[in-house]
Amino acid sequence: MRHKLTLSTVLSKTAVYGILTIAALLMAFPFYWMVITTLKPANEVYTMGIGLIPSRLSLDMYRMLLSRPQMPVGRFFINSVVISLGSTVITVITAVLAAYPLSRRKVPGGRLVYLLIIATMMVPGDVVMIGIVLLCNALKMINTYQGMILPLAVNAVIFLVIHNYTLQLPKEIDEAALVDGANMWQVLRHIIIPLSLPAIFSAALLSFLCSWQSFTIPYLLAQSTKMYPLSVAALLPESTLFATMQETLSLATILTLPTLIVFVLTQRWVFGGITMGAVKG
Amino acid sequence: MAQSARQRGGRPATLGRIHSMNGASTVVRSIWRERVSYLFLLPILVLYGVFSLWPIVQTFYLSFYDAKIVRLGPFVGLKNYLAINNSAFLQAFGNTVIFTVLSIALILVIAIPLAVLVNSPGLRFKTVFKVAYFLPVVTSFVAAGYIWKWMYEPTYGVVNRFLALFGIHGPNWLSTLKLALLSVVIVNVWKWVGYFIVILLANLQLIDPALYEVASIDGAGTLQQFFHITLPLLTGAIGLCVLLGVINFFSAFALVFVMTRGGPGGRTELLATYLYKEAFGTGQLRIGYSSAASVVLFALLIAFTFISNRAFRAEV
Repeated sequence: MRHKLTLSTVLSKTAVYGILTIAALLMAFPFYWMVITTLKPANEVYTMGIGLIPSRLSLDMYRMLLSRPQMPVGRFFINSVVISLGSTVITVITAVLAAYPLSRRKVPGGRLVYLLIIATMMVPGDVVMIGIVLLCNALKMINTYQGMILPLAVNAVIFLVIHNYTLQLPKEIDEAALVDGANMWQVLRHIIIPLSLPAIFSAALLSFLCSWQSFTIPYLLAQSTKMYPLSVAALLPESTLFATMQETLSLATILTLPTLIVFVLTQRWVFGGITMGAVKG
Repeated sequence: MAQSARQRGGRPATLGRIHSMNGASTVVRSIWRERVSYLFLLPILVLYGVFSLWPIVQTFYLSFYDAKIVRLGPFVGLKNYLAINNSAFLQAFGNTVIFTVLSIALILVIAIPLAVLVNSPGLRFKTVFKVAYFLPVVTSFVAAGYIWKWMYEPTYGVVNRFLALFGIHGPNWLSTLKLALLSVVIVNVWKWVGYFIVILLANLQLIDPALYEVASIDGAGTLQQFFHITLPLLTGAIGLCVLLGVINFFSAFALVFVMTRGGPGGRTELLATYLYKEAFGTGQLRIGYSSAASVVLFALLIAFTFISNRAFRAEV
């Protein structure tokens, strides 16, 4: 009955595709507008009319931005990469190490450790900004990479993604290996990690996308321009008097494109990671 | 189902109790047996202890002192907490509640139907739709804030240009007192809705399709199926969405910081931007006072999580 092609099913199908497409265009439009504004010839930015299709595309704005010595965009980019990769590596390693005993062994006090980790989700990093600034000040980590990386490495969602995955691997595999005389480290390295690679990859992607966006902690801890990641450097045009729409949006584009590209290429694992973290939640 | 799992989980616990009657030595022995496990737990405990727990404890401690950033200052008891009862804090608090509730409500109203439509059987380009909805989620708050700040720009921004096509003179979105908070909420909804669609979608895929077949044989229409099958089975997922929304929106900072800095006239001031201003923004460095305000914020978040957890569990 469902496969019969009646007028009403055609109409309802059209409606479904129509609604989904309009919603998708609305969600994606701001990105189109951002990119097209930065590629317009400068004299077309402040003209009347909606201006969605420029007369020609120009890279002048980017050329100007990259040539300005007080705006080391390359350095900002490297800072973002260092901070995001650094916190990702630390988050994932600590999460894998903890997830194995917590999900697969009866550790006295393990439940308490699990709850403590999960509890940190209730108090996001931005809310503890005073405490983090004072701590990093005491540890002499203001304006250093480690000062920005370590607070960002606290991310219980990443732990949950890996924990929920290792929890559902069959118990027999590592028990058999332990009976055969393997130690915990060998089990982790040769059984748990290889079997959990999809979850570890998903978790690493989520962590990377998350730290790349982070603003509050780097903003408070990076004091000199050369330590700014892109997310903080994007504020620079506004702090000078010559801020233009094109300049601000060009930096926003440079800040946005890397995560958009990474996400589009790896969407399967990103969605997988969110599902793993949320369905069992 | 969760109930029976918990009952099954109860058995080893009773066994453990019988064992422990033999003496504390079994506990010691099982701790010794798991010594490598503790070694594996050490890195995450140190990391979370130092960079999450310690800052929270320190904030709590400082909230009782007249602290400036370089020195602790005298102990002042509850003075900082009593000082919280002022109009600026209460305005930020009220704005945060409106921001959070309005964002969650709008997101659910948009995300639930979209997730259901994306989940419709035989739909093509499912991934394309999901990816499009998720793009804002992987965009940094700073970029999102600037994109929309310029889209909202009263003369050259694309929003008012679009309205002008229909002869409407668009308002100044971010500096009109009554509109500013709503304008920021719209951006927040755009930024987050895709995340909630993906969570809802993951839970929709767990619903047994046979339920819909039975319902349609019984003559239930699409809307009836939505209200009698889909929505009740999504209750848990919606609860999770509300919880995630409260945790993230109650502590929202970057979006407002980039777009309005809390203005006009404090109309978009949120708790997190207020805390920032009091602690670092004005040069007064009122660390003790801001710490007290942070503690109030923690307490609210923790209380809400516990309450919703209770409600959530009762539901399952």
